[in-house]
Amino acid sequence: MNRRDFLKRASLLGIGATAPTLFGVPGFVNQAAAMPILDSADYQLPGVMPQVINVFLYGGPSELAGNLTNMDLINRNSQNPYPEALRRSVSDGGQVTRHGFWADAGGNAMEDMLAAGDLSVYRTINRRKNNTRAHRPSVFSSLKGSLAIDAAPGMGSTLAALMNANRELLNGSAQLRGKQLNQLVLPFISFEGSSTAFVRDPDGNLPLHLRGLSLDEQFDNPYTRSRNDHDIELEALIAKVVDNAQKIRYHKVAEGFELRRTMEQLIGELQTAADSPLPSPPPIAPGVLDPDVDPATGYLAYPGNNRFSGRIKAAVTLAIENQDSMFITVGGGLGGWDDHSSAIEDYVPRMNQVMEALRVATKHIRYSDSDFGGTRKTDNIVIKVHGDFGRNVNLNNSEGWDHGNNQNLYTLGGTAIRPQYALGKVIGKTNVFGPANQNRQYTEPASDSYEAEPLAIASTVYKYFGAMNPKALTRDNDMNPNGDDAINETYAPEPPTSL
Amino acid sequence: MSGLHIPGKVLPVGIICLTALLAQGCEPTAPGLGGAQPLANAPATGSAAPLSDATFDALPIDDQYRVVNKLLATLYNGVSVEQFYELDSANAMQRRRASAPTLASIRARLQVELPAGERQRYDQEIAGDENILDAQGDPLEPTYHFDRNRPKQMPLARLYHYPLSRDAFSQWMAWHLANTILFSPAEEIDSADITDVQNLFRRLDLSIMGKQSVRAMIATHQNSVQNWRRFRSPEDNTREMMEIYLGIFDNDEEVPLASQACQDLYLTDEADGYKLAYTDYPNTESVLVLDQYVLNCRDFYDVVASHPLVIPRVVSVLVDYFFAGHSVDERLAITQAISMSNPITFEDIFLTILFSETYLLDTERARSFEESFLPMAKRLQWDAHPDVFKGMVSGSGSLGRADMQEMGWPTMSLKLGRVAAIPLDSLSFGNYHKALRESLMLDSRRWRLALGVEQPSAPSPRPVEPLKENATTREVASYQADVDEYNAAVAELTADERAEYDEALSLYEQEAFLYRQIDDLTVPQLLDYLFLSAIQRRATETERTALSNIFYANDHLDEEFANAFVRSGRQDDVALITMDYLSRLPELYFMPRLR
Repeated sequence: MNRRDFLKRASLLGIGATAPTLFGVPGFVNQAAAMPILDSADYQLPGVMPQVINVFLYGGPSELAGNLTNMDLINRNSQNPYPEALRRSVSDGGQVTRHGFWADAGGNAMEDMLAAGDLSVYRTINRRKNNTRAHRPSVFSSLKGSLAIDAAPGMGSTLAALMNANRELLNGSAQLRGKQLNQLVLPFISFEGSSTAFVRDPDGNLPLHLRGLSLDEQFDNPYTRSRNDHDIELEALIAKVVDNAQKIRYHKVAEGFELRRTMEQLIGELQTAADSPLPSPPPIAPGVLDPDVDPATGYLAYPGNNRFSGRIKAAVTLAIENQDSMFITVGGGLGGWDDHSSAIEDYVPRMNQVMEALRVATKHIRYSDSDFGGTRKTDNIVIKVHGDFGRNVNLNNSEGWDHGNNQNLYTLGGTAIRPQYALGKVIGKTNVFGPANQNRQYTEPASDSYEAEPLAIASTVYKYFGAMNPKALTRDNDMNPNGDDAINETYAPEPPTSL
Repeated sequence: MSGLHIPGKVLPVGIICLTALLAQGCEPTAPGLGGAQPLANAPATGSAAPLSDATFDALPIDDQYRVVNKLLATLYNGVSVEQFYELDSANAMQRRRASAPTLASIRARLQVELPAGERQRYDQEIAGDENILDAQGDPLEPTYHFDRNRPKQMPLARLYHYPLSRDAFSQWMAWHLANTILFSPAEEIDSADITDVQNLFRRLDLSIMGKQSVRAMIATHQNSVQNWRRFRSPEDNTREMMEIYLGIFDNDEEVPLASQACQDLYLTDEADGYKLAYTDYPNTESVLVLDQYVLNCRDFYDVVASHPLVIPRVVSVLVDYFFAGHSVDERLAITQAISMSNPITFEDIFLTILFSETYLLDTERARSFEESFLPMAKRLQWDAHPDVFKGMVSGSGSLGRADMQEMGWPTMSLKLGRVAAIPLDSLSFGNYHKALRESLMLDSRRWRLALGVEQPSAPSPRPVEPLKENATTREVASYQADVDEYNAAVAELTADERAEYDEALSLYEQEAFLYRQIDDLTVPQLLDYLFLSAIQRRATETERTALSNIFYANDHLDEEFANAFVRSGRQDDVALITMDYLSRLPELYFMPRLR
């Protein structure tokens, strides 16, 4: 019986008669979880241990900032017209950059990063399996790396479990700089509070130190206790009273207390690092400062009045200062990129803010490297930027874009952990589909284009960390029995756009 | 067009409703009964069956206290030990006071609406009113301070300040609903602002007080500008209505059709004030959505509001929150049991949940910050800080540390509402613990008097202490002289001074009475008193021993009485250490399971 049949029967028979079936409809209650089979990932120590910053743009950003290549047809078919400048190149006073980016929507910054070999743009992250345009399944599948959204842990938790399962290889290795896995400090961090990326497998026994922790962008320290005169005596009593049974029964809070003392000290150290000046990059020409340098200080500066700067700076600072931090999530409230109305006026400055912050981030990472006077190599730090889904390309009657599918992946940094020529290019080309003057107009990968599923992003992260068969970690029996391969980073780039 | 379309003809909504009523579809016309008795024909059974008064009365007294406080904590309220137990030294905390609240009395109070004048007076006390004079003849000062987020802060202030009543219950229900995916005003997004919070919350409160049905409230909300400011295009809006109110997440093929029906509506842009406007291009061809033909957006919204999945879906959203910690199967059974009791109003659903045996006895789940802080404040009889609600909602004022946003628990802000599970990631919990501990549990200046662990200051002229039973002749004579002197001093007061004095004296006598009772408690009894106040259980032997040792080491015990009592004037020090300890117990952050 399909859903329509079911609804028909439900309305004929009344709720009482159909209740048992009714409650099986997805979304009625939260489901339990289960960890993918880790053994099938075939683990091998990576040459260099990566550090991944996963920036998730909640709400589903439009692809247009990074892809104006179909703009003529999009504009012709759209219910409402686009600005004419989106069909003219920047050299002609328009908005289309050399690689087909939207200049004012971060395109100029993207071109800079592309030229510097810090960025690649994948234009064809496209959901063929279980295509959904709903937020919940899209966010969950992207951040869990699985289509079994109710039955899978977050990708951060899967990664932690993978490492824990292979701790014998990792412990004491050069990749961990001789450390044991259980000595790592803040290895899995969220800058977005409670994150789907760190949803745990209730049946898995992930050690406390490998579970996701959250920090805020100011490295604020709520872990301190003031008026703490009897701390030693009271903590001794707590240690007696809160036995293992209580620790299991109240596990989330008990863990919070266990971590509090460690965090109290660590946060203090990070606050010091965050308050220190950023690196000072060399001039781009004799007497010409890098545009991201504050002329008053000579140091790099993240853009002010930019809602993304703080979090991205905090994540990059953490990665640079604490090499133990291996997977860091950055996000925000849902709705930020859900541009159903007044899209252009909101989206353009917002995307520009993201890209300008990322451009400084790439320089922050590069000039913190030992090649530029830093204390270590930083070319293991990768930033991935993606979202729930892409959007329709029709400008609807509220001047917005409704939920779509095809989206861009912006991937930055980390030359040491990627194949050669993985950065500095644009991959994938698109065509426009959908009837003119109707809302459902969207791009899809061209038939001869490279494309990848959104789960390929999680698969790629697993691969960086040593999974030789990473698609096994994205599979599930019902919807995705084969799983998804990692992104092919050796794919040939698209040529620059010609208008 | 107010009818629904089937090929070739229009079916009036009334007929559709008649059909759908068989499936618990449309708005019934039965008069609302309101209050605790569900409007439904039958009380819930099975997993949602109510806890009977007989079962409650048969519980041990401490379990009764736990159950009552669990229920009240869920309502952001609480009852102190002093209000629940007899405290006289012979039977301290062994007997329930005759006036103590019970399930039955709470249930009854939730049905009683405040007289309009009384409610107005409470509102004036909350917000102040310069046109009204207080007892001293000064303009009435506000009890609480507010900022630009007052529409979010006022409901909490009312919940805290109103006595237990249907008015308070309605505020609480509206608070819950406006924080779920069902009705969040989504203030975080650009197109919504604080006036949407104000208007939406007010509408929810009025609808609940007016005993509107779940379906009517959903129908009204779908047509509102607040709904369109949250879901801003026809496609977004129709998709979300099916997801949110029916739990149908896989209906992408019908979204364009529903969107077509709604094509006559759009939200203007920021420059035009995000108004809901007509396009003037209405849909002209009926489309089949959810097995019904609809022509326009109102038709579509009617189909959603009258759909058989509405009740189980909204029940499930609430069940997921209140019964977190139960297995999927158990939550399904509870959802099913509540749905099959045919609830009509949200009040029916909430009452069934709150008074169910499964909730009161079998559910253990993390408390939200409101469920921890406000009930604790009530149980400790905290003299509320005027900035408390500014702090909780906006992170501003002297209690900015209590900012729920920093706990991953923002107020009426998230586009899809708060999630069912209380955020307990390290940062959220770090902020939660710190705020509860430092802003309330260690804020002894604001509770030590009301809790009876500080000797109250007597008004002047100071009343004479009662004569002890075994007083000597000399003491009796001295006492009589003191009484004469006191009476003479009182006689010299003017009428105004006397009125003010009598008020202060009355308060003092209550406080002094409690203080004397607490002063008479032994150390183990005092610990039980404090433990029951904070965590609704008595201290274990291990805790008694360890804490007594700390008290002893800090010279808080009275050697004159073999350290069996706390030294006079040190009860507040002992209470502070005990509260510090209790703030570190994981169980404090959970609603207790009793079996």
